[in-house]
Amino acid sequence: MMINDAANSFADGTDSLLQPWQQLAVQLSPLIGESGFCALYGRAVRLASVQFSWLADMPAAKSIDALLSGLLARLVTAERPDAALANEVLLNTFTKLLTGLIGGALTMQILDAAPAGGRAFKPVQEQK
Amino acid sequence: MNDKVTLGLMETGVPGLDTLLGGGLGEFSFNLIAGAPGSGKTTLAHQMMFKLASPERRALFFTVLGEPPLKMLRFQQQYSFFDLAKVGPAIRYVNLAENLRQGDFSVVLARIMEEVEAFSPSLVFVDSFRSVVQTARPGEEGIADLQYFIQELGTRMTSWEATTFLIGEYVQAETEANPIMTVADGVIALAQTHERNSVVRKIRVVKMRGQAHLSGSHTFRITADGLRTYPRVLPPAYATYDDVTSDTAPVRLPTGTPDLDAMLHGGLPQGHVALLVGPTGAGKTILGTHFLQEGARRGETGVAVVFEKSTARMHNATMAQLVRDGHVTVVNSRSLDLSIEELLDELNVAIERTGATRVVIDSLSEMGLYLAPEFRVDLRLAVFRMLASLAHRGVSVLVTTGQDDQFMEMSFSRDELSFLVDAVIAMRYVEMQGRLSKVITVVKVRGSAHSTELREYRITDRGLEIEPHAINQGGVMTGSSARRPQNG
Repeated sequence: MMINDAANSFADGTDSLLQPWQQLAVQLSPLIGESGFCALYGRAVRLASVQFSWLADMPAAKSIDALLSGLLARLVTAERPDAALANEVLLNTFTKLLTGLIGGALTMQILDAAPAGGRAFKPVQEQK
Repeated sequence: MNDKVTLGLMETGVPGLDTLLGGGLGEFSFNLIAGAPGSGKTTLAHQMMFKLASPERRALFFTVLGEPPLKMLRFQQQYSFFDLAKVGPAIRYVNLAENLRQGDFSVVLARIMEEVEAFSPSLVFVDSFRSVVQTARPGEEGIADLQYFIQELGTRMTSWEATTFLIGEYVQAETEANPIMTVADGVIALAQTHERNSVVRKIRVVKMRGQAHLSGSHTFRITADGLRTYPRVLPPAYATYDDVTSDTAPVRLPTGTPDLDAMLHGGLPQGHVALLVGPTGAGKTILGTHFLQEGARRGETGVAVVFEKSTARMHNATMAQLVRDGHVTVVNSRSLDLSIEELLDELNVAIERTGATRVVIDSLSEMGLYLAPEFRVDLRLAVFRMLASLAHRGVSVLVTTGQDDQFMEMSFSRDELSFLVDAVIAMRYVEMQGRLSKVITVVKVRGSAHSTELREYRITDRGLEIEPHAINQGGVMTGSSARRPQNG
């Protein structure tokens, strides 16, 4: 199932929770590759699942597309406020991990940078 | 009309490297940075990239398999050259790992070109290129694919007016046998040599098309500021002898020891290098200190290159005060794998920064202990390089060296160091009338008359006090001391 298909099936707007992830993927996947992004995400899920146990045991994803599909599938099973909070904690954990590795200043520098050539996000698989 | 193309050269930002390259990096050149893991390739690439990159001259850094990009960014940030503000507008990192996994060079090339077209870089780096090469299909087909890929990459990058760097874990022999060598315009090889627990980093410009680069290996060090190379060069020869000053009436520098100035017939000729040779306790360091103190008294600044066992014992009280007052700068390496070029670089920086006119090196004997084993073997060559550079600067130098008394022969230095200097002042212990006495003599002063007497001296609170007349004893230099008969 493609991300956009899944998102469109939820009229309550849960798909909007994925937008920050999509933006992160645009900014980071060229830098660290899909596998680097997935590895960092996997660690963030592990840490966030202490607070939100329903995030645990997500299957390990090898592509960002699969990773976001899996996240969306979990988010739609939770209550909306809980889903939003869990997503926020997961995002914060992800960026904290990144900050821990490359520092706050460079993290901000990379996340603030506009995508080269103004290209919009599309799943990395489609770029190949 | 002269329509020959002129190579544009870019400053690398790596101290000393532009000298090795023959003036800088050639614009639009296609280069290989080779070396074993840990030799400093990625750091060298980053240092050049951060120096050269700007929003108008952008850089694309492709990471492949090997050092993970996040770790690379984590560690490279530790260097002072890493300018966060350049990441994004001037420098972009792109990971090629996924493209490479498909095992098809045309996919990798297409991705590289896609990024190049999007970002329009003037500088392109691929780290590690060996990872790219290793994904080639086995056999002849793989070699042909690789050669085509390298050829295409080189052609396209040059057409895009991009200066390109492939970074690979190749050792020297591999580098020279590698097909990349054929395509590359420039090859910079980094290495570490290990001998008797000392490691010396070396850099060699194997080739640099169109540029008269310096051949041979040169040492470098990696500090918090990145690489600093130490080109193994002698000072330039005089283009014309019109500007060479004649020594017929040299300016004399008071040494701070008036009795010694008298023996030198007015002091040390300016710009001379004098060797003070003598056994332990003879007063060599005192003479050196007074030399700098006298300079300070006359408004000159000095540099002291000292090799002592610990910081606490590094300075005598007079020297410490000279340093505190800003009259003297101390160069004092604590490294045990020093190269003479590195020491000379520190010395030159100190001389240029302070405008020093007097230098004391105390002592050559101990300096040898700080040199890496491969440089220690030929102390004479090391001293020659250092003194040649100092002589070119025109500074006046006192160099001390320890030498145990050998009473059966007349010897003024080990390793024939006395041939490298302009003046030699020898000090030694002699037995006279049942006591151990100290004597001093001026062995040589180039271009100048001087005393040839052996004179007894004492070390007092005022320094060296030298008797005004020769000792009344013969044979003291050869171990057959005997009182000379009195005249009349």
